[in-house]
Amino acid sequence: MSAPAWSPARAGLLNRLYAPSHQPETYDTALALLADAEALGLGTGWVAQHHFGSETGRLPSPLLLLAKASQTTQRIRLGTAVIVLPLEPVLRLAEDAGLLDALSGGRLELGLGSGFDGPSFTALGQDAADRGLAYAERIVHLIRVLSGEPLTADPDSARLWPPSPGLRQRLWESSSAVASVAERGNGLLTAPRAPGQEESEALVRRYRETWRRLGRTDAPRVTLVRGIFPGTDAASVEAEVGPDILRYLESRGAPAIPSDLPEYLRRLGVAWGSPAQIVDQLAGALAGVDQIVAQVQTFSTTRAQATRRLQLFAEQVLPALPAVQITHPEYA
Amino acid sequence: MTRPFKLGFLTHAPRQSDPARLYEDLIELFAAAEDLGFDGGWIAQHHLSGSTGGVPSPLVLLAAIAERTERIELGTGITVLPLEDPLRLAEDAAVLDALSGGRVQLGLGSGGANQSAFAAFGETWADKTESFRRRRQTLQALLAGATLDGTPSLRLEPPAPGLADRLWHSHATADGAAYAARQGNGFLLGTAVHNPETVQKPLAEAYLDAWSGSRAGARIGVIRAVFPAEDKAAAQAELADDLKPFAAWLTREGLAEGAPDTAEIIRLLNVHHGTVGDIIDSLGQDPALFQYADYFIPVVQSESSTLPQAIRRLEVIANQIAPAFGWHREH
Repeated sequence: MSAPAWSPARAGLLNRLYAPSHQPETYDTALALLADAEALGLGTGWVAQHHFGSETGRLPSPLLLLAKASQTTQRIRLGTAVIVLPLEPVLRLAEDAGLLDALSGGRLELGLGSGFDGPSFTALGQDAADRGLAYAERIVHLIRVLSGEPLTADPDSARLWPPSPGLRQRLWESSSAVASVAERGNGLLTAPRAPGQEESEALVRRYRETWRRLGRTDAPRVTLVRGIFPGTDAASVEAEVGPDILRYLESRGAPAIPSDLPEYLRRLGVAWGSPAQIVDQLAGALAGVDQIVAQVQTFSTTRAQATRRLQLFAEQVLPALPAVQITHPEYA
Repeated sequence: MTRPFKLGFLTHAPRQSDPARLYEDLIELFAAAEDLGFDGGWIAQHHLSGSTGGVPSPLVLLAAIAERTERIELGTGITVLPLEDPLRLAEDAAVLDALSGGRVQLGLGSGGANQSAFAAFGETWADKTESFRRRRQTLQALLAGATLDGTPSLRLEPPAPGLADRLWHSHATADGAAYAARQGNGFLLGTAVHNPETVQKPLAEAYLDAWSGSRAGARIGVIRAVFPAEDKAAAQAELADDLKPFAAWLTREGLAEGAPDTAEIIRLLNVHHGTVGDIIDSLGQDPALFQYADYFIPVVQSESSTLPQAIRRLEVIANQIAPAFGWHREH
């Protein structure tokens, strides 16, 4: 085999901006990490949205942070993973995204999801129980707006400005309704699933099958997001991330026994340990995946730790990952 | 030495065929203004294809500008509040304030030049005053750190210390001016078609009358079109084509009879133009300007203005015009 199958361009960073509280340096650190990711050659830097500090996520306005990042980086693609669509006014979101896309030279990758945090929905005047329906309506509306269709029944009525037709091709959805995602021609953002749910691998297969059945000429897009914590060895990584993981489980009312940490990490879909150990853990999960995105931070990760993990991911994990034939008949 | 006012500029971001070029030009305009010592730059929000302005999302653009500048205040003049979700706006403003080291000045209006956009947003133009007031209350309470109505403990994240004290309103009525004062907010004056003597001066007085605190807390920003050139004729020639579309509008609004010529349009839109001396004279005689202005906010671009023209006009204002009224750069 010649060139490594998993070039850095096929990988990315996801930062959920977890932090105990908002500090003046919270956003600076996120911007610095995006620049680090670019310097390592990674293809995309993604940030998550959280309202009112839910899950200790500190960024409610990912497009603003990415607008600033558009001036500190030149090449890396800038993504949201995800924006909670039921809580966004669709037209304002389209305007913000369109302006950012123009501003960044077409580097925006707009990832959307339906959300889960009940209090955020209540605060923004929505019923979390209706989020599936709200999501389905708004994604259709958003696509119409980005496609430049008139915004009212009057065919001469106003349309989106700036026009953002290219962005229509760079929408991503985090959704288990993968057939709908394929029918809309959008990319699939997927992550390890909870026990009892349809597995991520099955979702990817179904998404690609639907895409093929539709006879689409463009390529399907699958991005796999994983917690990836490389270090010297498993024990040292467990010492770093253990307290955060146990705290997270406790906050969700789940058992959190320190000696069971490895089992918890496995169940959460985290890959951790030496680069070689991580390669082993990821190798079986790459079928049908076009891009792999690493979340390298937990609640209390320092910037230095995050940079180190990102570097190990880019320089030691990626080159050693096995090639997957995404042109295999099963997926072609 | 105390300065009599802060010096800013306002841009309506006239559209260009290439939006990317437009946004890069605006970033460079802010950077140039900062180099010239301007205290702030303000961007007007214009929605959808029917508008002439090119920035529907001033806060997103200002986040990029925050990276390319260090000191200049980042304003909106104005954000159309009835077309915003006040919670999302509070979040965006708070994030921008954090990204910019506390440089946000948030100007709010009920409609601006955006009437044609209301239907597309599912909003009703006739409800805009009531809508403004309701949303202003939610926005300002959140920015001030209050818990969100109907929840026991949710507060704005990230917190935005001081931002609730950096809100401004634009209103066309004395009631509106008094309302801005009662909320403790600043007041933006200078809508182009508002006559300085008969409309703007009474608005400023209504604002100050209603201000219950000390004069030091009240704050008025005055927006003025300022076009320095070789002489008045040259300025009028430069502006003629861009002003033509305003003729029909002024007639429709009942502000002009028949078809006003360029000089008449310039008078009705209150455009200060000509040599530096001409402009200093006419600004000095403006009855609603330096008597009230805590923030003097010139507009230097018309539709076809190029970036170098706009920067050149800002230079003349910072180096020659504003100093004639006692302003000097702080840095």
